[in-house]
Amino acid sequence: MERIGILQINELYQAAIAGDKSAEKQLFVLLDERFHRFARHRIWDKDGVEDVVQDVLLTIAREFRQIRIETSFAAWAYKVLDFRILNHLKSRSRRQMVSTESLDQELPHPPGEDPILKYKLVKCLQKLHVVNRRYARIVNLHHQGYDTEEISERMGLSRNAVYILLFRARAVLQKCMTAAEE
Amino acid sequence: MYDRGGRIMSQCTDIRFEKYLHAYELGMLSDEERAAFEIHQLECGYCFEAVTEFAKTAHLIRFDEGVDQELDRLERTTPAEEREKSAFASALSLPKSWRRPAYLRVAALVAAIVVVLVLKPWRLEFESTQEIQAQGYRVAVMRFNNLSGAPETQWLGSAVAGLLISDLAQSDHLQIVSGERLANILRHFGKETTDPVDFDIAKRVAVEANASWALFGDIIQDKSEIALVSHLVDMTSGDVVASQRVEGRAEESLFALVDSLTVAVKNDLALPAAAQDDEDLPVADVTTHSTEAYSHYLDGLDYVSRLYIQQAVRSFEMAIELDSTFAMAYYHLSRSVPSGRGRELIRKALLHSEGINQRDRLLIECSAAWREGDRERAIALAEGLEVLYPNDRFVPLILGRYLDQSGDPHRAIRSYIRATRIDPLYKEAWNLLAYAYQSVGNTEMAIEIVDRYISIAPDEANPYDTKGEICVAAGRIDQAIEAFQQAREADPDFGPAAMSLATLYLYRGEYEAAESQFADLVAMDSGRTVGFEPYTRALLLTYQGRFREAMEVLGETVPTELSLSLLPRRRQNPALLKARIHWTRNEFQQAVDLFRSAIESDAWPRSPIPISIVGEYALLLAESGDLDQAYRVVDSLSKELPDRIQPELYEAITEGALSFAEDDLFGARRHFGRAVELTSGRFARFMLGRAYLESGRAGRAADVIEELAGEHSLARYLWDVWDARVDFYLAVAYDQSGRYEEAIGAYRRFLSKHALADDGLEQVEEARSRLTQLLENP
Repeated sequence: MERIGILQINELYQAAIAGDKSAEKQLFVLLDERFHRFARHRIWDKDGVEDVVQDVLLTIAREFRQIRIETSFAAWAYKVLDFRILNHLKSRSRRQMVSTESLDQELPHPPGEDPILKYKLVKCLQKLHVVNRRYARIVNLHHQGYDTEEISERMGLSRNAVYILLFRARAVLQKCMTAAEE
Repeated sequence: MYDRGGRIMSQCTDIRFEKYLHAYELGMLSDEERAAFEIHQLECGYCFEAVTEFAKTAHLIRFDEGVDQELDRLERTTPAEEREKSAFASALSLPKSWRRPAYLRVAALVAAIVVVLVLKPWRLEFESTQEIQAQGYRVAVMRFNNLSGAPETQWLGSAVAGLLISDLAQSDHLQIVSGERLANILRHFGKETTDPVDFDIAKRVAVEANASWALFGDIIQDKSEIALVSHLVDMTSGDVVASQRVEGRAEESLFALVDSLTVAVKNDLALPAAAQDDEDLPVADVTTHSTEAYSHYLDGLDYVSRLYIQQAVRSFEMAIELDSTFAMAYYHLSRSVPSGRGRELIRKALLHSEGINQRDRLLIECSAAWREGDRERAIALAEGLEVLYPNDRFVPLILGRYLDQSGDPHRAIRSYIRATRIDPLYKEAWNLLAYAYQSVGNTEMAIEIVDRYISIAPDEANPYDTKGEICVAAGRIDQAIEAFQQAREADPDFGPAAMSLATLYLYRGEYEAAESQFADLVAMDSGRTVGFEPYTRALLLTYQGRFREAMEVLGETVPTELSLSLLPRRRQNPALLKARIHWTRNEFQQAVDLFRSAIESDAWPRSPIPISIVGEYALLLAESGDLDQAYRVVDSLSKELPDRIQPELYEAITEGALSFAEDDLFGARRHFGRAVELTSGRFARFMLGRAYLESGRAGRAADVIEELAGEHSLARYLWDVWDARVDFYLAVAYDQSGRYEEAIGAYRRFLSKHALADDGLEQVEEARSRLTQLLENP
């Protein structure tokens, strides 16, 4: 996939409707990449993801010139995707509707076995635990099925604090994983 | 970080979103937050690239079992008081639902917490069992080896272990691994629960159970003397740190010996001084005074854990026969029988729950509240139990059941997941989790979960049976058949799988195969259920349109209800089958008589009269020419509706039936349309389809009937005569809406299933005639 420059999606949109073909191409490459990821959060089967994303991109391609978007193209495009995903879910039979809850949104498709990555991760988690003991607890509670609000209550933290704690832990993990690679 | 054009992307374009990054990767954002963050990723290359780069790592943290175990281990190395905002905060920070509808007052104490819950007029006190401190004394008690007993007394080993577990569990300072969990672990290691347990096995099992102590031992019997010898292993060192021995005369109660052994074990555990104040009732008082009853009880628990319900019921019944005050035997039996009997059993459990331990008493109260209809209280009690006993796998399972049945499957899923985290070998939890995912439409996950269940119990029938049911619900019939066959291979006497196979073959028109499965079921039943064999034969004949033979097989008197012990939760109704056949043959009086006797029979008071049966009866009366009687019946039965039947649904179905009978097709469409919004029942949809068809709206009729025909419910056969006609009505709907190719297909299907039908059957004749026309005039 061709590399894209700094993302200015709304600018790309403006350029595209002004007739800039290169900007238009970049715009749709960007949308394709992102929409695939977002759709995978909520649709379990790969075929369903492909159908939805293709459908959304066709809709956007058809309509983006006709519709006057006053605010954010990104928000409009996302709404098209969101609406299409919901329709996809509803159009299945009642017994094949997929939950849209946050629980276990990500498809449980293993990204491929990588024992070295896993080994590094375990080591880094051990290092992380020395400086951040609450990370393991939060993740374990999440694995046990508690939602973020319940986790916040149990930990005596605000929701925001839980997110920040996770974010900082991630930074430590990432630094550790990168150092391990080097 | 660099962008893909090689330029440095220094940071997020809107740092308000930056904090969401890892929570998003772990799936912890709410739907609104996720949407906002995804929109942000459209505009912020930094965040999108960050998520992309970390994707594999995040995936491992979320899903990899090895990483999960490491996180678990790390958490356990954290000192208890640091783990949350004090361990006691977890008791104080009750799940938010506990604060509805009542208020909660909590006082934190240093050594113990008393949580007081006030729920309307009830006042319940929960004494914390100092759960976090007890984690340091988590004990796995192995089955004792009966060294000198005859094979028929080997059960003593399980009984001693079970009694020790119950006795030790009285202490607020100990956490005891359940016997069922240990049995699962042993099986997982390829050991039968009757195999001897030695030092090495004890340690392996204790590690798997996350226990800090293991206790294993022997029973030595010599003529008139009996001794219990046990060894305590400290799992931190892996060494035996103490041994205990209690002796008594053989005629002495085993319970007294266990009481003495419990005291010895607790002394050697060197519990905190406060443990001296633990209540220590004789174990016979908190369980049963009969060793034999206790042995049957343990067998029952073991059968339940393997979901062999029929055998579990027998075991619990035997325990109760031997000890009619055995509260927990009543409790567990109540979970395995139909609800009417269950209510009675839980009352007995409550009656005899005076001396038992807090956890068991609260479980019984939970169940009693649920059965009395106080769902809120039952759920609150279960959530409270989870706070008090966070490592008890059974509690989140029960909570999950309540949530599921209260129409909150997502919270139920979370509860079941917690149960499986506590015990990864907890089969009942995996089973319910699979069904719960199916109920929210997540078939892929349901199948993944059931496959995991199969992997931990590959030799048991129920996992395959569950998979079969999930596949049926998802319309994957071939997979379902394969799974049910595997269930039968695992256990040839597994009735539910045989019944499922019989019905699936029936719907597919594979009558020989269906007959074979029914024959196996009849053989399994061994004649216990009068009327079952003729019913199965009549059902097979009905689906083929061979009504004359079906009537001969059913005979003069048919039961109004069949309840097989093999299939405790399914009820068949031969009287209605016969009634419908009479109806088909325009023998209205006989049909009406049978319907009336079915509705007025004793069967109905135990469960509400199915509304659809009332609708059918009304339709029959009207078609037989007695419209007034139809209205009278509908009116009188409406006054007897139990609370949980929606009056709106009753009205929709009965008004629909009466409208249909009076040729008011517009009214029929309106009422049945409303009924279909309120229920997924087949009768309403079938009649809606017919109403559309008869009012000339064939296209709409085809949509409705097509959905019916494509639905694979294992209970379809309860609609026998009507179900057998769905293909015909579908063919007509296609035909009349111009979908001739599909009509040809549907006519063919119908006729092939009715190849041996009675001569002169109106629909068969019509189907043949119309098919010929369509083929001659393509």
